[in-house]
Amino acid sequence: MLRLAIAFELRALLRRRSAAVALGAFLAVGAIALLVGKGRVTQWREEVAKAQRAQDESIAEARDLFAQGRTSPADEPWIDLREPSWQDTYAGTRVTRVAGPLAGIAAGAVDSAPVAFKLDRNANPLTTGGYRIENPELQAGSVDLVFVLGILLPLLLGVLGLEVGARERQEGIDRLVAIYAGQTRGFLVPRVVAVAFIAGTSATLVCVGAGLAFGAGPRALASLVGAALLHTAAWSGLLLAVVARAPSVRSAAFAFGTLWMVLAVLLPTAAAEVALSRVPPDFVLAESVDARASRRDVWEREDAAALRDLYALLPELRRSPVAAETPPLDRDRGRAAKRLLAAAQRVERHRARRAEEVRAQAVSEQAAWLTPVVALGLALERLAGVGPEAASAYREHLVAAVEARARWVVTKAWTKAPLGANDFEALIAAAPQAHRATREGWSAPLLPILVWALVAWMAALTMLAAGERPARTTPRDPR
Amino acid sequence: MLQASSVTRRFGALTAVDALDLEVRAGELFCLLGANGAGKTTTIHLFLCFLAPDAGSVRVGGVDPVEDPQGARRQLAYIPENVALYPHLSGIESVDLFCRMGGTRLPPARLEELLERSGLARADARRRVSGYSKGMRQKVGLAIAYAREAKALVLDEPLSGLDPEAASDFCAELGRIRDGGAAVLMTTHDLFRAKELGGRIGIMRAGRLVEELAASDVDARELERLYLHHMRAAPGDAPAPRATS
Amino acid sequence: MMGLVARLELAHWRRNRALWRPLLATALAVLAAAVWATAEDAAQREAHREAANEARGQWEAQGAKHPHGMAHFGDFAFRPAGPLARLDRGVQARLGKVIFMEGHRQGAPMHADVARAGTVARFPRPDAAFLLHTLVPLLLVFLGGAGLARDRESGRLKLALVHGARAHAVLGGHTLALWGLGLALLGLGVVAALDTNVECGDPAHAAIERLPAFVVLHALFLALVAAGVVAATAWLPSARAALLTLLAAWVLGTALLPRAAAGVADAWFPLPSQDDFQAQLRASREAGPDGHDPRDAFIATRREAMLREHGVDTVEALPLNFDGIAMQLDEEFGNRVWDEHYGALSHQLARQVRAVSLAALVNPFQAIDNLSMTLAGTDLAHDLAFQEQAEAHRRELIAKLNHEHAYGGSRTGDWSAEASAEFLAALGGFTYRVPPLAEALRGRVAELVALTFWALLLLALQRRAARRLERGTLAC
Repeated sequence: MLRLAIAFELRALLRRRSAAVALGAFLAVGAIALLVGKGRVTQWREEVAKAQRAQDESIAEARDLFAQGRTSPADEPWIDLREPSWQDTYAGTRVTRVAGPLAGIAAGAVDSAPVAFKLDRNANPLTTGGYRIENPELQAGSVDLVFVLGILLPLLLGVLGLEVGARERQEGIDRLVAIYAGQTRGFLVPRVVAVAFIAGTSATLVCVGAGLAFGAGPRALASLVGAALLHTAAWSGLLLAVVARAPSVRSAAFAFGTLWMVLAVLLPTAAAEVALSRVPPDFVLAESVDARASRRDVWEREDAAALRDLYALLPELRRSPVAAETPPLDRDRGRAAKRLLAAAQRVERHRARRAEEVRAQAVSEQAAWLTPVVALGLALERLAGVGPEAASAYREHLVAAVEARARWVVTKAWTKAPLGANDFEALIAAAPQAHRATREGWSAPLLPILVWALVAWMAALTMLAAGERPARTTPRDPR
Repeated sequence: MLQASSVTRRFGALTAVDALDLEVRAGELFCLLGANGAGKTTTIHLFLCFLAPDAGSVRVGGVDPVEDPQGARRQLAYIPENVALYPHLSGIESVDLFCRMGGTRLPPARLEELLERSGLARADARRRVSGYSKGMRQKVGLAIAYAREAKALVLDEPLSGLDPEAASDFCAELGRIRDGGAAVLMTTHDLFRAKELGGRIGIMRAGRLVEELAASDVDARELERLYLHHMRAAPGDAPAPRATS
Repeated sequence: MMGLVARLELAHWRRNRALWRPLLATALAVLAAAVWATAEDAAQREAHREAANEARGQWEAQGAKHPHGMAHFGDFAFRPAGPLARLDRGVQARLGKVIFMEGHRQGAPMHADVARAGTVARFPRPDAAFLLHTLVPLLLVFLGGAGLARDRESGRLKLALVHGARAHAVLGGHTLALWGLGLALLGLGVVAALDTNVECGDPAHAAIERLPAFVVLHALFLALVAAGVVAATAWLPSARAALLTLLAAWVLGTALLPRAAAGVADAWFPLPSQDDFQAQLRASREAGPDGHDPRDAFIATRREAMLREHGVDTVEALPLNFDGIAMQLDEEFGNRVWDEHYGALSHQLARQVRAVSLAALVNPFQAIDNLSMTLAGTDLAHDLAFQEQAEAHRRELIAKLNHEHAYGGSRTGDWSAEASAEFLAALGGFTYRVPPLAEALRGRVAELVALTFWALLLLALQRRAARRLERGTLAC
C-alpha cells in the first residue's frame, strides 16, 4: 500500500500546480539559504585569514628586529622589545574561531562574538561585538536552514498533505476508499507517509546541498539530515492528526494553519518574549557604569594596595628579586600589575555574565519542549557551532586567554632580566589555539522533537482507529 | 448474501431503522424505495459497516460487519449516489487505484475492457475525471465494482441525476451483474426503474420495511399507488390492499 | 445595503460559536501583547532613568580631576525606548543599548538585548504591531474568504443580485465587516497600551503625537487586507482557490519576501566587516595627529606656530597648556576621519534600508512593518539619530575638557592640574531628542505610497469584480 500511496502522491505532485509550486519554492528558498550560508562562512574565513596575516606580519617584524640585533624600529625608538609589554604587543596574537563544517546553516543566529580577536594584556573581550556590521532591519529576516527546515518545511507538508483524508471526506471518496481498501486508514496513513517521504526527500536534498556547499563530513551531514527527518516526522504526525478527522479541506487548512501559527510563529515568539523579558532592564550597568568605576578604582589604587592584590593573585611573585626592591612598582610594572587586576575583574564580570547567559539559554531549552521549531533551531545552532552558546563559549576562551597573557606580562616584568628572542618565540608558541565550537549537546533538543513525533503519530493513529469503527451512537442523522 | 435480522438503529431520539428484517440472496436484485428520511441510506450504511446496529444483527456473506468489517467489506462493491473520484487521475487510473487498494492488480488492457463494458468510451477513459459528467463518473464506479468481482453490490441512489439514456444503460449493467450471480441491493426514488429492473422491491417508511413484493407481481401504476399509500398513511395504518394483476 | 450585508456578516460571526475561539484567541493575544509590552516598556524607561542617574552620579562623584583623565573616564549614552515602543518594539532588541563616549574614539552601541537572551532571541517579539501585521490578516483571510464563499456556494449571492442588490454593495459590506473587525482589534491593542501606560504612571508625551498616525496607517493597512480578501474571493473561481491564493500571499508577504528583500539588499550593498571598518579608521587616523605622541609631525608644526605666535622658545613658556591643544587637534582630525568613514557606512546602511523600502512597493506587509516601527521610533533611522546625537554630545564634552586642559591655568607637561568639581559637574549629561515625526517619515515615502497604492488597487479590483458579477462575466 505504501508503494501505491507514494506513486499516487508523486502523480498528484506532478499534476497539482499548487503542490509543484510549493515544492519548487521550498527548494528555491533552500538554495538561497545555502548561498547566504556560504557567503557568511566565506566572510568568516576571510576575516580569520586576515587576522592570521596581521599576526604573521607583526611576528615577522619582531623577528626581523631580533635578527638585526635591534630592540626597536628606527622611527620608534621608545619601543623596547626586551620588555614584556612590547613582546606582548609584537606577538600580535589573534585568537581565532574556526568556522565549523556546518557554520553556514544558521546564518540567522544571534551571535555576538567576533571570529578573530587580537589578544594582548589590554584587550577586553566583553565589549567586543560580532565580526559583521549588521543592519538590524535586515538581520531580523535572515534566510537560513533553520528557517527553511523549521518554518517552511511544515508549510510544505501542509500544502502537500492537507487534502489527504480531508478532501476524501469533503467529496465522499472516503466511503469508496473504506470499501475497497477495507479501512480508510489503510490508504490514508500510507499517503501521509508518502507526503512525509516527499517533504523529507526535499529536506534531505537541501541538507545534502548544505553538506556539499560547506564541505561537511559524513557524520555532520548525517546529523543534519537526521534532525531534518525527525522534524519532518513530527510535523507529518501533526498533519495526520489534523487530517484524521477534518471534514473538509478548509477545516483541515484552518486547523493545520492554526497549529503552524501556534507552533512555528506564536510560541517561538512568546519564548523570545520570555527570554528577552528576563534580560535585566538595567542597561548592563555591571559592564558599563560599574566596570568603569572598578577600572578607575584599579588605576587609582595606591601602589601598596595594588601590590597586595597582585600578590594575592600571584603569590609566587613575592619570592622574586623585584619584590625586595623599594619601591617594587616602577611605571611599567605598576601598569602591568594594574592591567592584570583589571583582567581579573573582567574574569569575575564574565562569570556573572556567563551565569546570566546560562539562565537565558534555559528558556530556550524549556521552549524546545513546547514546540519542535525551537528544538530544531537549538539543535541546528549547536550543530553549526554558532549562536549565543557558541559565542559565549568563545568569549570565555578569550577572557581566560587575556588573563593568562596579563599574568605572563606581570610574571616577566617581575624577572629583572631583559627578554630576548627565545622568550618571544616561547610566547608565540604558547599562544592559545584557535577555538573550535564543540557539537556537545546538539542532539539533546532532538528528544523533544522525537517526543512530539511519537505523541503526534500515536494520537493520530488512535483517532483514525476510533473513527474507523462503525459508529455506535451518532449525534447527527446521516439520512 | 446480505442479511439484516431485527435491526434497529437510532440517532438520539430518532429511530432511523426499526426492527428491519431483510435478505438479499445471491443472483437477486433488491430495490429499496422510500421517501427522504425513510431509513434507506442508514440500512445501506449498516451493511457497509459505516454504522453499527443498536439492536439485531447484520450479516454480509455470513460475516458480521461489526466484528470483522474488513472481512465483510471484502465481499462488497459499492456505488454511491455521487461517485466521487480523485480529480487528478484519469478514469483508467481511478479503476487501477481502487483495484490496487483491494490488493488486485489488473493489466491496462483489462482495465480498459472494464471501462468499456461499463459504457465509457476509450478516449474518455484516458481523460482526467475532473472533466467527467456525473454519468461518466457513475460508469467509472461501475467499472470499479466490476473489477472487484464482489459477491454483493450495494448502491445508494445511483440513478439520481442521470439522464434517461445513462440511467437505462446503467440499469442494463446492473441486470448483467445480478445475472452473474451477485446480490444487488439498491436504494432509489425511481419507481419505474425499480419495476423495470425486476427482482424484489421493498418500501421503507419511518425505518420499517412496510411492503415487500416481487417486481413481477405489480405493474408500474400499482407500484406507484402502493408507494403513495404507504407514504401518506399514518403510522399503524393497515397495509395497503394489493390489487390483483 | 452595504451596512446590511456587514451587519449580517457580523451576526453570522456572533451566532457561529466555532468562530468565537479564533476570534477570542486573537483578541486575547493582541490584548496580552499590548499590556505586556507596555509594562515592559515602562520598566525599560524606569531603568533608563536609573542608569542615566547612576552614570551621572558617578561622574559627579569624581570631584576635581584632570580634564584629560575625565575624557578617558568618559560618559555613557543609554538608548531610550522609542515613543511608541509599547505597540511596536521594531528592531530595538537587536540594537546596542549603551554607547561609551570618551576622548580619541567614537563609541559604538554595545550590549544588545538579543545577545543576552539565548537561542530563541532569533525570533521576533510578539507585540501588538506584530500581531496586527501577521495574525489579524490571517484571521481576516479565514473569516473573509468563508463569508463571501458561503454566499456564493449557497446561492444567496445569486438570489441577492436577482432581487436587485448591487454587487459592489455586497462586496463592500463584506469588506466593511472585515475592516470593522480589524479596527476593533487595533482599537483593543491601542486602548490596552494606553490604559496600561496610565497604570504604569508614564506620561510619554512623545507618544501622543505619533499615536494618531499609527492608528490611521494601521487602519489603512487593515482596509487593504479586508479589500484584498474580498476581491480575491470574488475573482477566483472557488473558495478553495481563493483561500490557497490568500494564504500563499500571506506566507509570501510576511515570511518570504521580507527575507528575500533583506538578502538582496545585503548582497547589493554589502557592509564592511567590523575589522575592515576599524582597520580603515586606524589607517586614516595614522595619517593625522596623535595627541599623545610628542614627536608627532602635525603637532610639532602647530607647536612651532604657537611658539611663534606667543614669541616664546619652549612650550613650557606658553601661557597655556599646549597638551590640551594637541588633544583637541587629535580629536578634530579623528572626528573628520570618523565622519568620512562612518558617513560612508551610514550611507550604505541607508541604501540597504531604501532597497528594502522599494521592495515594500510590492509587499504591503513589509510596508506596514517598516512604517509601524518608524512611527514607534524603534527602527534603524531612530537608532542612527541616537548615535549621531551621542557623537555630537561626545564631541562637545571632549572639546570642553580639552579647552579646560589647554586654558584652565596649567602649563604644558603638567598632568596633575585638576579641573574643578564644579566645572566637571556643569558639563551636562546626554539627553536624547526624538526626531520630529515628519523627519522620521521622510525615509518611508515608498512605504506610504505602497500602502495607498495597494489599498486603491484592491478596492478598484473589488469594484471591477462587482461590475463583472452584475454583468454575469464573473460567476456568482
